[in-house]
Amino acid sequence: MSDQERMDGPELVPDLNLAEFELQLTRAMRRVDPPEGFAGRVMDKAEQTQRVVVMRPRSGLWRMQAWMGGALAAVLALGMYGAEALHQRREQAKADQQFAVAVQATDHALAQTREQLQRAGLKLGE
Amino acid sequence: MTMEAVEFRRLVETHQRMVFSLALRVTGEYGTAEEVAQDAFLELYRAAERLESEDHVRFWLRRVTVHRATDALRRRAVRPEAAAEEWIEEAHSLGGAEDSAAMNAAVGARLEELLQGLPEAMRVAVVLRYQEEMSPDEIAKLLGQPVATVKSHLQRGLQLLRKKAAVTMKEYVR
Repeated sequence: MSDQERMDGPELVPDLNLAEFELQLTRAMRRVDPPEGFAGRVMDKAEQTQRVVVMRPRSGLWRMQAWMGGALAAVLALGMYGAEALHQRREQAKADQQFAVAVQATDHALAQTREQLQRAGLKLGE
Repeated sequence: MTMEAVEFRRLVETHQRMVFSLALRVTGEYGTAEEVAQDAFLELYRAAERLESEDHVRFWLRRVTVHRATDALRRRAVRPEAAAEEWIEEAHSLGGAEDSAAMNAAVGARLEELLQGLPEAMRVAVVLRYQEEMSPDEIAKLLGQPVATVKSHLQRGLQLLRKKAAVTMKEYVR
């Protein structure tokens, strides 16, 4: 800021030299020391903040546990679906086996019937 | 102690006078100034990774300190003019200083007190100009204000201070 800029506007206090006044102001506004032990107190507070930050991974652990819970539920659901599918497949195999036994029994009965008819002098398919 | 803590302590020790002085002159109260200064450094501790250079740290600390100090001032809701008026009455009853060193100290102390009578925006501009010796452009950048506004605050603040000083300090200055 130039002196001209500072001098803009009405001169309110003509008997106070502007440069001298600004010099006094600069002297008056020298930086001052903070209260004793200030840096130590700031460091203590920063350390407390850091402790809180260090404890934060706990929330990450909770988040991981939530993920693990979700994954476990998914695995259980898949397992139940798989078990149901396996059960159905076993039932199907059992039914197939029963059908095969029934067909075999029927074939056997038909063969016996055909034999009895042949013995009685009748020929099938003639 | 980690390296980060060592670096942080160095920053605190380097900038503590600047930060505390800014906070003190804006808030006008010792205890509040310490709280503001501590808060500014703790914010620095959390934001340190984003700061790229020593100049950036200084700029950042000045800005955060001024903002926190003006926030504290508003929370306290003290009418600064009242304090200044009280002091002006008191100043008339004071005797003259004996030697020039004592006179300078007395003038300095009075100017500090008069500063507290300035409206907040003018006070901040005057403190940054005369304590931190920043140009109006730098102040404008720091405060996020137009340069013309900063110049106006500086000019009016200086005029007010001189006017009050003329009333209360004629005996010292002459």
